[in-house]
Amino acid sequence: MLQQLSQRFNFRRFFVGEGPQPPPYLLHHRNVYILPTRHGLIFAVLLLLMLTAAINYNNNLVYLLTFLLASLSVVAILHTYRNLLRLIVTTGHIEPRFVGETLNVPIRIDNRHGSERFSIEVSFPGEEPCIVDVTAHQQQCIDLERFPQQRGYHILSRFTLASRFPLGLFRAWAHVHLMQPYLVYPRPAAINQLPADSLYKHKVTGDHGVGTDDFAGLRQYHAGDSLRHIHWKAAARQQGLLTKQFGGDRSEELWLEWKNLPEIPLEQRLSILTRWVLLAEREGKSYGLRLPELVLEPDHGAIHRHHCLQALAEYRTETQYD
Amino acid sequence: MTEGKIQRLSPSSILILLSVLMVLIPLVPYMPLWLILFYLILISWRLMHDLGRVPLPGRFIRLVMVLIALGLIIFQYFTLFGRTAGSAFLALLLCMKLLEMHNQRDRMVVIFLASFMMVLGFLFSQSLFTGIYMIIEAVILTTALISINHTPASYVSYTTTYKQYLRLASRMLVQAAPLCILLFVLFPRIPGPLWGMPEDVASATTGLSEEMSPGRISQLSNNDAVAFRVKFKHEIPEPADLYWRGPVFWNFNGTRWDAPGSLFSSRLETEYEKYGPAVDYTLTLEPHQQRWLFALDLPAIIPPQSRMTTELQILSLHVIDKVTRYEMRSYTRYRIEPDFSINLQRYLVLPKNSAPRSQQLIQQWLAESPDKHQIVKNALRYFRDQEFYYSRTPPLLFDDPVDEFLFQTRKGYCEHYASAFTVMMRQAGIPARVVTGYLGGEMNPLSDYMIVRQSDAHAWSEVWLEQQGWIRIDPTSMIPPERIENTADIFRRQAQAGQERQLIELAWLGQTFRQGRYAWDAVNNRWNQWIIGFNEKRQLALLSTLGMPDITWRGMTFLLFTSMTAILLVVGLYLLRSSKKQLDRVNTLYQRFLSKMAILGFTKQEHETALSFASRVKSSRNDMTQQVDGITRLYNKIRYTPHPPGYLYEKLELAVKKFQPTP
Repeated sequence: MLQQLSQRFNFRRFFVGEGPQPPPYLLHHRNVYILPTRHGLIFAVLLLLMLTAAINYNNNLVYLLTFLLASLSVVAILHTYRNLLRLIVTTGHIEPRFVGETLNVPIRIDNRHGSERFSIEVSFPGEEPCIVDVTAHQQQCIDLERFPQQRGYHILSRFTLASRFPLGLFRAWAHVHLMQPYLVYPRPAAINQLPADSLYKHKVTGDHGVGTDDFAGLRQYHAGDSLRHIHWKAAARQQGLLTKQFGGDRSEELWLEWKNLPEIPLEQRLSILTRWVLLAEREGKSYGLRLPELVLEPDHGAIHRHHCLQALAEYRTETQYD
Repeated sequence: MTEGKIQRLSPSSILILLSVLMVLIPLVPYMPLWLILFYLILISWRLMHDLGRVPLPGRFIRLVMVLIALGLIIFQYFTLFGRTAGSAFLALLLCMKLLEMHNQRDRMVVIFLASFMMVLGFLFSQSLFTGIYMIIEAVILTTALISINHTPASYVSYTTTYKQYLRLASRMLVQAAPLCILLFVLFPRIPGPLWGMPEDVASATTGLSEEMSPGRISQLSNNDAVAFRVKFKHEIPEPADLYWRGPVFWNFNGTRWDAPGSLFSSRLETEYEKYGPAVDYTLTLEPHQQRWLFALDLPAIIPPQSRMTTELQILSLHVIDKVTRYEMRSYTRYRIEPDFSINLQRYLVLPKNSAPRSQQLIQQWLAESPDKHQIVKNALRYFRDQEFYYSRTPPLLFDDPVDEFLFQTRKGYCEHYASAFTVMMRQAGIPARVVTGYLGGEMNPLSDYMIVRQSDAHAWSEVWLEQQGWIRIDPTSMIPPERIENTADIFRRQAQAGQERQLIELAWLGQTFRQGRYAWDAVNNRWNQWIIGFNEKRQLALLSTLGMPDITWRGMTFLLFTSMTAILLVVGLYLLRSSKKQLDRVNTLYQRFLSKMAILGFTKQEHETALSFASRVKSSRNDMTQQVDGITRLYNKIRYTPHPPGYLYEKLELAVKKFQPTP
């Protein structure tokens, strides 16, 4: 109980928020803060000046105006606060990128209420905010950008939703720290050659008829075979279902080996391996990756590429909170 | 900037220019024409820039413009401070700021400056119009602030944007109103200025002046402006007693009456013999930039912050530069200073060789009868019997205004008669003085107070007679009606004859006009009483009627804070109320559908889902299949889609509304 209370009134919450929370994140009265802006302070000084004039000249219209503007700014606190309240913030899937590339962070702001929200500023600390309006009962998606400098898994850093609407005298804000991981691949090395031929390992077994290039014969249909490979003409001749087999997987397997890059610093090694994965994938080769603690059997395709890059990204790193 | 192509003005640039114009307009009558033109040029420059026609001036040109304008302002006013010069200076800053307004910060500064300009406007006028104008200004300024702090999406039309901003601004002001009224009523009022008032607080028109030179002004102003309003506590005195005492003049130099150096008596002047009932009333005086306070002849009390002269004139300690209310008590029947003869000498002094013809006439009367009463009667009869005319536009008098008036022109208004009569009395050795003030007043038939206008300004005489003391003699009243040039004046000047002024306005149109004017005056009176004249006394009176008599300063602060909290709580709860209802909107709509079904005898059981209920309904009512299916499908879609789009709610609402089953 006491711990809960001390957690609740922790001063850190005021500055950095509550630590990563699983999305979606609801903005409510305990995580939306509000303080006057610099303009608000100037306005307060102006009001004091007007009050002094009212007292000195004993002018009731000046009193009235001063009180009207003062009340207006008090009402503005409520309006500004309300502008953020009960918005729901989630992030979309963040596509992995390489170190040095721009990472798009899709953020979705969901307004399930009947009042339109104006000029919501969304930004990572110290960056130019994205400003959006969110219509009543609608959602608005915006893309923030990150420029990751380190490979590996990251937890999305804290970003801020803020609003000065309507009068600009107050700024309400909420720090949103979502438990949203994203992956950053190592920076590909600036080379454009695959490793030397000696690294190719010829398969002992050769053609298994699981390639896609040359017709290699027919075999009995097994459940799961592609419909396109069924020999339909034979089926029409009442010969039962036969599957056409193709060769082409005969080509060499390429092993991308960690140990073949000795005497090179770790990050550079990973960079080179990353580039190799990209090149091998582009050339349509079947490639495997062998790291000291991990072996990925030769294969190709987007998923395999991702697995390889993921392994390289994660190699000897831990999830980083940035 | 594209050549020759007009850019669309953004809402914020239009609203900012509008705000600036609106705060400048009330100051226009107090500024020289060239300055107004200069401001207009600056504003149009900004407008042309926003239209994409011209660039903004560079720093050098701006500097030169400011220096020239500053020089001209100083040349015009010899200062940059004070009310008129200060507002000209601030207006210059505001308009120049328009030309270097580049970002949001600058725009905010312009609006802040503009709101301060409004204060300057109120130093010139606090009328009801000004009050209404203030509210319009506040709405526009708030709308401008909103537009500055919002970047509308490009696809939104500006018309809807304006509407949205305007609606929000009005809503915010309405929400601010209770708090504002509370602050106005409960904020402790500190009487008196914190420091000296600026010297140049404007001159106002009044029917009276600090001196009187009959014959020097050929036209009596017919100014219908209100001088003051009176609310009588009990009965209204007879019209013949409605002499409102103002400045008293005793010094005459042959052409001009004045009262050099008012003497304040150490004696209580209010101690005189009083007869008849006291007249109690509250007088609300319009500002006239003098220290005169008016009271019915003769005042029996002296209002706070004021003193009484030996001539029984009440003078305030401060210049009356704002609406002032005070309680008064007068006695219309009195006898004052019957045996007071020490200082009478100065009421007999006349310049040498003044009015020799009049002197001859008086000598003649004195030879006939030395009785002073008889002399007064003779003089009054002289005005009545000779061909004297009451005229608003009498001929000018040059050398000796008294003799020329008495024996040549014989046309004049109250000042001529009072002056000539007083001089005649002094020539006869009777102490006499001129009293100015107002005569009469009209009741507002739509309310319960009396209006006294500047056109009711009047002058009469007071003479001192042994045993009787000072008595009031109004020589103007001796002029018979047929010798009054303007018919309206018959009633105006002879109100004491008991005639009703309204008789003259028989025409229906005149009546309507008069009614409208009275209604407007009644509203104005309320405005003066409750807004402009609201002070610490009224504050305490209001609080004691609310059941809080003798409230201390502390108690008032406490009351202010608690009630402010209460109001904020209400407004806050209204604004930040949980929109559970919105979340449950779909349930509410579905319940509406269910209650329509219940009329037909179909009640949804607890265990039934929306779909099973729908199929049960359809099995017995084939004709409703389409509608029931539609509603159920929408309901399920909204309920079970993570983020249902808004238009689905509207579709469901429409479908439920349209669903009118027949039994």
